[in-house]
Order: sequence, then structure tokens, then C-alpha cells
Amino acid sequence: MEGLLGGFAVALTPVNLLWAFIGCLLGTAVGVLPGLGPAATISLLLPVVYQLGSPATAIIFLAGIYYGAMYGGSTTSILLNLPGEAASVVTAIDGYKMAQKGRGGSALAIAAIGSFIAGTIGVIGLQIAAPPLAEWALKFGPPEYFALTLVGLLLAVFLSGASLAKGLITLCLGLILASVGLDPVTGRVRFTMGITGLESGFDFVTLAMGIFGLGEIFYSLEETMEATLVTDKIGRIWPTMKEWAEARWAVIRGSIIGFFVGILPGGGAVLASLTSYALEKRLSKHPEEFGEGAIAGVAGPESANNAASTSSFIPLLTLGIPGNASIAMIYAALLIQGVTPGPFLMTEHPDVFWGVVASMYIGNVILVALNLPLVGMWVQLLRVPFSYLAPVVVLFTTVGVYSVAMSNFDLFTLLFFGLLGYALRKHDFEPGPLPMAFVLAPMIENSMRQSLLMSHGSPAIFVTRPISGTLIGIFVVMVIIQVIGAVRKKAAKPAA
Amino acid sequence: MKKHNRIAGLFIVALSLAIMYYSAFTLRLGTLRNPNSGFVPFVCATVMLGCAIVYVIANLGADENPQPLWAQGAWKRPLLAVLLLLGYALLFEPLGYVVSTLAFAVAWQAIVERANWKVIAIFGVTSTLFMWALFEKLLRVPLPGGILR
Repeated sequence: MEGLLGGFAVALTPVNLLWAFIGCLLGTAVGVLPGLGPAATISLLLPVVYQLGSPATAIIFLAGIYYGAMYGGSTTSILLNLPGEAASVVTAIDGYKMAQKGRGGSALAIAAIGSFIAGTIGVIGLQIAAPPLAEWALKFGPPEYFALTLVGLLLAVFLSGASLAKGLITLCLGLILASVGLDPVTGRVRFTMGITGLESGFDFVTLAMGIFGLGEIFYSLEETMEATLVTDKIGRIWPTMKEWAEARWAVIRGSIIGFFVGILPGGGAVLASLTSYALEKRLSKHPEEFGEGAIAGVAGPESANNAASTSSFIPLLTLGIPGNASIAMIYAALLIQGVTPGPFLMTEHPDVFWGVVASMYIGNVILVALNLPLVGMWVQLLRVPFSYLAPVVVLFTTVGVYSVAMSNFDLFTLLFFGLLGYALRKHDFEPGPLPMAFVLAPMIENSMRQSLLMSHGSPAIFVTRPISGTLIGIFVVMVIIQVIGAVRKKAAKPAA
Repeated sequence: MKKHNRIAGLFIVALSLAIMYYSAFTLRLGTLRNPNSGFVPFVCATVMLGCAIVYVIANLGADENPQPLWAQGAWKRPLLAVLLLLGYALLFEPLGYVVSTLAFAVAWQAIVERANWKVIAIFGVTSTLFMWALFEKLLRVPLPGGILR
């Protein structure tokens, strides 16, 4: 409790309140606008992080963008059938139907209220679960960290729902790109092809901005975006007692599911909203209403994605493991500020840990205030033409990357990563695992080398120690399940 | 898409083999007791190679629904954007922020978006000024002065 009070003292300073507000505002805007997700936006704003005075301010700002996007995503899903964010795709199914029937206001209200309740439950869970988890992580040595990062990355690939082969290719590419430059152990240069500018390796900001910022813009340029007709059938912005009765348990269930799914690496908000929707449909006395405007189909997934966005901070803040691309950006932002996320964060930087926890309570209140009364304004945001948005993002990316090291060379590496991001999207490769692997690569390589030194070259160290052995066991079971699933799918195909 | 996926898969196979060769023979793998600089890249490239082969195999056979990689002319705007950005990167320091950014913003609206001259002029000036105010004044980033210095 003392820690949380200290956190409120940090989060309630005028500067941090202002940045939390700006983060929530930007996050909602990003959630509303289709195309530019939270990972891309956080990557675009990484150069700004260099200018922010304290790490607590930086993480409060970026966290606001991340969970703000979950709120904003529901608005366009419900009113336009246009999910601004991947986690809101499922909300569009029943939310848009409700809007068509003149119940858009109720859908928006239940999404906001559900998000608020779930966000708050998520923060309480984070507050309770994080300290013992961080204490447990203090027992970790290099083999445990190696096993944990490896399992975390692979779980992120498995749960992303994309092709296993493609996910692993992107993951390995991230690890290889991170090895470019000087090897910190042997002092040898790797993969620089004689280019001096590459000796210090690729910068994460450049990589993230290229793959998520430029790559997304290049891909979007293939289509000429037409102006979307905005519906104004919002109706009354408050659910009726009957609607509230139908939605309340969906909110609670969604919050709990979202919280636990969010902790899993790769689980995140998308998986949480899908799981919640499936569960609500199964539990409903009227499953036939799902897809036709069932309020539980909005309340459950929206609560789940918000709880997940909060709980996905748990592995980052306690173990130093980012569970998805957006959290990997926040991990990088903390490193930029000289703070290493992990079990020591709570004791070495309590202002950062408790400051962000407290700011989430405040952020949830800001978001409800921003989303419900200003819904009309957010819908108008969609009228900003892509022809203005795209060059502004490109300029912001370019000048932002230049501002980090004042190096013209970085502009060429940015273009290279932009083309890589475009190529990945073009061939339907999910780019998320790449920045996660890139940011965790030094930890994987160092912990592997240290473990092998400890064991005099015996790889058995990874399976004989209880924690790393259990983690590797989980990994093996996961692989077997995936392979069996793939084989069954293949076998079932010809029969279908 | 199968044909294009096969080509992409084969490109990844070639890339993986090149990385494996470089890791094993230039960087050296070392031993399990003392892994050298090439060890981790070699392991990653091996996994990548295996996955790329699986990907190629999955895309073998006739395509039931063959589609071009780009719909008609869809490659033009991304290509123009890449070329403009390349020019911007080349001219950013020699010409300085103001001239190169103004030229880039004007060229983008004129070539990529084919906007009318009014939009081109207004967008060019406002976007250059906005970025300048944000980075130079608000974030205090010293941008290159170039020919206007």
C-alpha cells in the first residue's frame, strides 16, 4: 500500500498527469484511426522519449498510448464496422449491429464502462501479482533467463495465430539482426559488410520505426483510401437496466479472462477478446443473438482486451520480458532512459514501477472522460485524409530517427527497415515477433553463453535445474501440441 | 500467391545458407564450452532455413486462385514513396532540413498523391513548419541548416 501511495505521488505530479493525458489522447486517436496501431505509434514516439526528463514520465506516457488504443478501437468498430485496432475486430460483429439498430450509444457506453472496470481489475491484479513474481524472479540465474526468454518468444509466435514457420522466420530474423555489429564478448564485428556505420549495430528506434511506421505506410499506399461515410446513429449514451443486466457478468468474465491471457507472452489483447467472445456465446441462453447485436458480445471482448493490455505489463515489469510488440517498444523506451526492466525494478526504481501502476488508475478515469462525451469528435477524426496523414508520418519518422543520433546513415537504415516491413506485410508475415526478438537477443545470447560456461559446456544445465527444466518442458509440450494440431489439420483437409 | 510465396521462401533459404556459411567459416562457431561469435547466428539461420523449407513445401503445387503480387498498378505509389524517401535521405544534410523537407512534402503531394497546386503549397509549407516547430523548438533537436546556414 505504501508503494502504491508513493506511486500516486509520482503519477499526480502536474508533468506526469499531463503526459498521461497526452498518452491517453494519442492512444484513443490511434485506436480510432485504422492502420496505425499502438506498436507503430509508440515506435514513432521513441525519439520523443529521449527528451522526457524521467523514466517514470516516459513509461506513463507510452502506457497511456497502449491502453488508450484499446478504448479508442471500440468507437469505430461500433459506429463504422471499421476496427481501428486488431483487438477490436470482434467488437465490430455485435457492436455495429447494435449501432444499425439505433443502440450505438448503449454499445459505446458498455464498451467504455466495461473497459474501465476491466482496466481497474487489471491494475489491482497487477498490483497484487507483480511483487511476489518479481521476488520469485530474483532466484533466476542465466539458465532460467535463457529458458524464460526462449519460451516467451516462442509462446508469442504460437499464440499470435499466424503460421508457425513464418513466425519462427521473423523471430530468427530479429535475433540475427540484433547480432549485427560488435560482439560484446569476443569484440569481433559481425555482418557489417565493411560498413563502419553498422559496427555499433542497428538502433532499435530505427528498426521499430522502419518496420512499423514506414512499412505500414508503404503497404497502405497500394490502396487509394476512400472517405468513409460516418454513421450518426448513436442513440442514447447509457445502457438500459436490461442491457446492463445482460452485460455485467460478461464484463466480469471478460476482465478475468483478459487478465490471465494478457500475462502470457503473445497472448495480449487480441487473443483475450476472441476468447471472451467465444465464451460469452457458449454461455449465453440466446447464442443466436450473437452476430445480431448481443450486448454481451461487446461487453466481454472490450473488457477482456483492456484487462489484457494492463496485465501484459506484468512480465515486463517483473521478469523483464516483453510479451508483445507494443510492450517491446516500452521495454526499449525504458532502456533508453537507463532503466532495465526486471525483478530489480521494484526495488531500484520504485517510482517507475508504482508510478505506472498508479497512472493506470488515473488513465482509466481519463479515458472514460475522453471517450464517452467526445465520441462525436473521435468519429470526425476519421475524416482526416490518408493523403495528409501518410507524408506526415513519413516526415515524423525520418526527422525522428535523425534526431536520435544526428546521423544521416540512420536514414538509409530506416529505409531498409521500411522495405523489410513492407515485404513482411506483402507476404503476410506477422512483424510482431521481430522487434521482440531484437530487443531480447542480447539477453538470450549472454545468458546462453554464461550458462554454458557455468556447466563447462554441458547443455544439460537447461533441463536439470528445476525452473529452467520446467520451462523447457512447457516449451516441448507446446511444440508437440502445435505439430499434432498442424498434422491433424492437414489430414482433415482432403476429407473436407 | 503460391508462386510468389515460393520465390520468397527460396530467397529466405538462400539468405539462411549465406548466414550459416559466414557464421561457420568467418565468425567461427567455437565450442559448447566457449561459443564463438558465429554460434548464435548459425543456430538462428539453421532454424530459419528449416522453416523456409517448410514454407516452400507448403506452397508447392498448382495455385487454385492465382493472383498477381500487386493489383494493377498498385506498385507505383509505394515505389514512388521509396524513391522520394531515398532522395530525401540523400539531400537531408547537404540541403538542410528546411529546403529538403519542403521539397519532399511538395514532391509527395505532387507525385504520390497528385494533389492540386493549392494543396501542394499549403501542405508543403505547413508540414515543414510543423515538424520544425516540433523538433527544433519543442524538443530542442538541432536540425541541419544546410544551404540556409
